[in-house]
Amino acid sequence: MPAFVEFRNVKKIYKTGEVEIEALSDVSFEIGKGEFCVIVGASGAGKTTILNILGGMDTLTSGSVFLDGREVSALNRRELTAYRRYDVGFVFQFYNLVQNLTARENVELAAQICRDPLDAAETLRQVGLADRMNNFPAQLSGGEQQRVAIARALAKNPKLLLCDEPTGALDYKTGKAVLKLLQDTCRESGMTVVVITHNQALTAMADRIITVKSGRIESMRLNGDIKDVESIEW
Amino acid sequence: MTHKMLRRSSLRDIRGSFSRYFAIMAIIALGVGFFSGLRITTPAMLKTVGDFLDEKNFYDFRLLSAIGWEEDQVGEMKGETSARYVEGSYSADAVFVTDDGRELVMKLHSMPDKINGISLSEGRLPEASDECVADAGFTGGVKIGDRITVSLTSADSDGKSALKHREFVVVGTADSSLYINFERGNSSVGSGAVSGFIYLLPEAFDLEYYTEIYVKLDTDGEIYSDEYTGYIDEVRPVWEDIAERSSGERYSRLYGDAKGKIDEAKAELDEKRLDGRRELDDAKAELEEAAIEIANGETELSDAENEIIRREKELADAKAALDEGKAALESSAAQISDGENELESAQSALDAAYAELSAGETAYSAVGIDPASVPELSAARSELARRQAQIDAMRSALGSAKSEYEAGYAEYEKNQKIYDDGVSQIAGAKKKLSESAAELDEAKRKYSDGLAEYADAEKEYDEKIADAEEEIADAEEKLGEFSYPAVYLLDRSVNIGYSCLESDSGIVRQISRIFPIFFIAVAALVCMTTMGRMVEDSRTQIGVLKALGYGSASIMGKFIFYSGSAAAVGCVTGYALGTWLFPYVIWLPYELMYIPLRLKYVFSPALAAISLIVSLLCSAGVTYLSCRQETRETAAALMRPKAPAAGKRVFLENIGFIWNRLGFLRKVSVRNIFRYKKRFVMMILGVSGSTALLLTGLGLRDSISGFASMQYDDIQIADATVSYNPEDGGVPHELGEKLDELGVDYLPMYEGGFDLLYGSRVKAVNIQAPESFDRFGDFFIVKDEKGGDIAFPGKDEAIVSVSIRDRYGVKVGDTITLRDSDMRELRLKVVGVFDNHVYNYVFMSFDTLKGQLGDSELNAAYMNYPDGSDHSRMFAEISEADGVRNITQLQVFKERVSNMMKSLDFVVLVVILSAAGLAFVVIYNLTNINITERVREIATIKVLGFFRREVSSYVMRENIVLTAMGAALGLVLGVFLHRFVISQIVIDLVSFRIYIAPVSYILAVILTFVFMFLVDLFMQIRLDRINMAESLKTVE
Ligand SMILES: Nc1ncnc2c1ncn2[C@@H]1O[C@H](COP(=O)(O)OP(=O)(O)OP(=O)(O)O)[C@@H](O)[C@H]1O
Ligand SMILES: [Mg+2]
Repeated sequence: MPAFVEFRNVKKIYKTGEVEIEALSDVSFEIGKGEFCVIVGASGAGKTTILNILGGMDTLTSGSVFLDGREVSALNRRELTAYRRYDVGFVFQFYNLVQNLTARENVELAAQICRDPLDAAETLRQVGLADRMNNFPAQLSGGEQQRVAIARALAKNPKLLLCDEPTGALDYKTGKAVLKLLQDTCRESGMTVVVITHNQALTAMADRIITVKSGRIESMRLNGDIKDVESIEW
Repeated sequence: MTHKMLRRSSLRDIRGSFSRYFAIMAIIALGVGFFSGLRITTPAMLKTVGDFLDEKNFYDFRLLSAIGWEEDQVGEMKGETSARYVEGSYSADAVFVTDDGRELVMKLHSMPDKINGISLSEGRLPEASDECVADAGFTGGVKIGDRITVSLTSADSDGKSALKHREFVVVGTADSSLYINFERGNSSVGSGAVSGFIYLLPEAFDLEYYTEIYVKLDTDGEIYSDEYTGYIDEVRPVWEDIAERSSGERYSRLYGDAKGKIDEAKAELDEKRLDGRRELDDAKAELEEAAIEIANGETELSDAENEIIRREKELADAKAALDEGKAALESSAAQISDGENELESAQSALDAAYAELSAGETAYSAVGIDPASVPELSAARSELARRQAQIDAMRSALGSAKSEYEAGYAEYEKNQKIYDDGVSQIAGAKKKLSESAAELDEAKRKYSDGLAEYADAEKEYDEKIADAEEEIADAEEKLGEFSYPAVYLLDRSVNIGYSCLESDSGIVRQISRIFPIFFIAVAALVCMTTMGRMVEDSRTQIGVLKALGYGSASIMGKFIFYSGSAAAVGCVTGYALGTWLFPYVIWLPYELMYIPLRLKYVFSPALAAISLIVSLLCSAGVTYLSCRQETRETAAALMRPKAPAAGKRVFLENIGFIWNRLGFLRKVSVRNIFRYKKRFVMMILGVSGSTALLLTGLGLRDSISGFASMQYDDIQIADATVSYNPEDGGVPHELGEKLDELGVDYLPMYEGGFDLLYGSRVKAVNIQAPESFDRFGDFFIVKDEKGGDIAFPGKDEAIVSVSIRDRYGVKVGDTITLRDSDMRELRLKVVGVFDNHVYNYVFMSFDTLKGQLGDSELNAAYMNYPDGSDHSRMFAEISEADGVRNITQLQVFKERVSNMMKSLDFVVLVVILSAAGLAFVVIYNLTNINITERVREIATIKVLGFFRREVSSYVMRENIVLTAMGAALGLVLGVFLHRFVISQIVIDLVSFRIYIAPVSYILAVILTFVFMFLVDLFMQIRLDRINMAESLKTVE
């Protein structure tokens, strides 16, 4: 089976004025369809860079990236937008909800531009926010906001769900709940989920664990002993 | 800014967010430029003219007295402490004729010494009393070297008597401080329209007294300033007293003189009356004597006549007797001569018989017979002897008869002589009689002559006395009427140029009060939002700096420096540009209407300070307020992300049927629009402001460019007007014939300039009083502003043009007072207001005018040339007719007026450019803020996969909606602003219609949107540059 996601010798160099920073040196990995993949690494290792490139938010310097057999790295601007629109869902550390929209509207914002979206209310119910649908983000707690963000990503019914430190701004318990939601989503809908974290403990719940270090893949392994989030302590 | 790193950070901020920095700079520059530029324009204009007036010692008081002024009075006034200069001056109005035969009404002035100086433009000042300096802004086109002649034909030209010469040579041209704008006032002489002024040496005037005294007070107060008017009000009573007293004294003297003269005349009259009477009486006595003599003569004459008749009768009797005697004598003479004849014949017969006897006797003797012996012979002899005796007897009888006769004849002859003497006596008496009859007749004739003479003399006497009495009575009446003279102490406000400048510059002042506040308000709002946003954006930075131990002051300083420096740069730029550009552009059209003066730019430290303070308040002050909030918070709180402005439902959501119909993204836009109140208000304000400005600017153009054609195509539709010297109170015969011959339709009227009294001020207005209003509509369409009909004025009523209502507060139902230059007044009830754009007109019937003034003449006419005729040929033809003074071709006028108005295009351009600037800066800045504020949100939707166009419409839709709302509001504001501006832009004699062409509304909106789209284009680049990865990475 060909890999669902594939990075081939991806190199990323940031140019700021005179300075060149090599964020990714030579990154290659694969992720299978429907996998729950965790990317770990030290701060500044290049995790976010990988995710951004994968999500079509950033371009690469050299190498190529494939999703479901399509070369993402070869897409032009417009195609990249369409790619983000139809194929990818994002969850950020700081939620990035549109403050002026209610929870439900935030979900609808994403859903309404997709070809085959899920029902916004239904999705929110799935993430346990049936009662808070008409609240504005400011009226929600961080965890609730993050769940809205996840619902927003899910409602797009993407092929790939990318989460960059989704629990970074959350307390332990809430973080766990969010992770559980992601894991359940992956399991139940067979969606490919990539989660970035620098918490090694979380690798236990992943199907695949990719470790990044200084712009390189240090290791990539499949988890033989997948645990439920509930049972992981950190 | 004591910390190096902070300074560096500040500079980097500026570089890094130059668009924001620039926005602050631009809006401050715009606001300050507009504010200071408009504010400084009036002072600059006033300084320009004020300096000129100061330099020329423009008068403060002008003293007029019905009896004029004397040198002594001038001298007296010079002693007054508040007087700097006092000068007597001559002035008069006169009609002049140029070499090419044009008639020009001129205001004559004597050359000033100090007060009301003139400034020579060309040539030199007059040196001889027949030289003059003419108006440099001459509408009559008189050049140096031209000769102008005082018209003698012109009926009421007082210049004729006021001047020593009839002909003057123009030796120079000048501008006068008495005439700083183009208006030259009105005159009661000639056509009434004054063409210009003429300055002559005082010696050129043939007047015994000064017509006015000018006073320059010892003040240097700025024109129109409170300081100046305060001072004037302070010294006015003093000068009123002086004028009153001085004039009173002169009056008393003149009155005394006149009174003395009358008394003298009266005494003389009395004397003459007595003398004359006495003379008449003498003559009468003489006449009466003569009458008696004549009567006597007549009796004598008739006596003598009777005597003659009696004697004639006697003579006739004597004559009869004589004739009888004569007849008797003659018959006796005849008898005598008969008897003599008979005697003779008897003698002869006897003699013959004797002879025969003697012969017979001889024969007998011869025969010897003695004859004596023959008997027969003796018988015959005896017979003969008897017969001889008989004859002798007869002869003696006859002889006695003859002597008797001779005695009778002598007697007769004696009587005849007596008779002849009598006849000759009578003839003598008769001759004498006829002589004395002739004498008597002569005496009678003389008498009747004497009588007639006497009657004449008496009549003459009576007449002369009556005349003299009347004269005295007249003089007395005049003296009675020679009341205390009206004395006027006039200040500068009656000088047309001076008061026009006040109102003209007032327009700009008005505008400068309203517009700039608007700009400043927008500038403050822009700064506030911008800086508020910047400070908010920098929360974390502030927190970090605080945590690092920097004091609030230095942190605040960083932001205050940022906005303050932007504002300072903007302020200086704006001030420099504004105070140069605005006065420059606005002075352009005024320069055409005022005497050519170089505009003096004014630097007002106060204004500069205010501009700077306001700029700093708008920027740094606002920054300080925003900062204070932030710096008060703890470092930790600052570093925590601040909750973004919470989402809220808007009222529209409650209106389900609208809300539900909106697309999802539209809902988002609606919510966003109302989410940021400040931005919403600002955007609406800014956009509506610029739309309003645009509409005003474009509307100004409509009003300005359209008014000439409106005036001359829709209102004053006559082809021309002609003014003439009235003949028998109306159109001169020749002109009338000419017009009829050419087929020109015309309507005679009175046309003249009067002063409208309003408040304590006067304003020149034009009066037209047509002979009849029946056909008036063929020449002037009288309608109200909405195009409705207006009734023509009846007796003692008038209708006035819109401008008079608007500017001088005259309303329908008011009674207005108009005064001509002879101080004759018209009081008229206003019964209507008609639409009119050029000149201030008052219409009334000619009967009303004549009735109120007592006397007036038709001196002009409206003319309509026959269809298809050549106007200039008509002009030439009609000008040739005698009595024609002036022809105004209205079509030519139309072009001239519209050309003049083109100068206002500059102002319009300034307004449009300002509007464009405002629109651009506001929209640019707000969009900029909007985007900066929502980078994360925009990045988010980009991440969500919104296409480029979707992203920009997500953001820009709000702009479109806000712009649409602002533009809509702006149109409403613009209508009012335009109305206000039009009502304030009072270019004298011209009033614009409040009219905005439909296309201007559209254009204003389109332009507003164009600015918005231009800004959007700029912003699109910014949108594209938003880096999703970076924007979303952190909270900041
Ligand atoms: N926009 C950028 N410009 C320049 N360098 C960048 C930029 N973004 C990331 N980098 C650099 O690339 C490298 C990788 O960064 P990246 O954000 O991928 O790290 P990360 O593994 O996600 O770290 P963390 O766990 O702290 O989030 C870093 O050394 C960073 O300094
Ligand atoms: Mg990262």
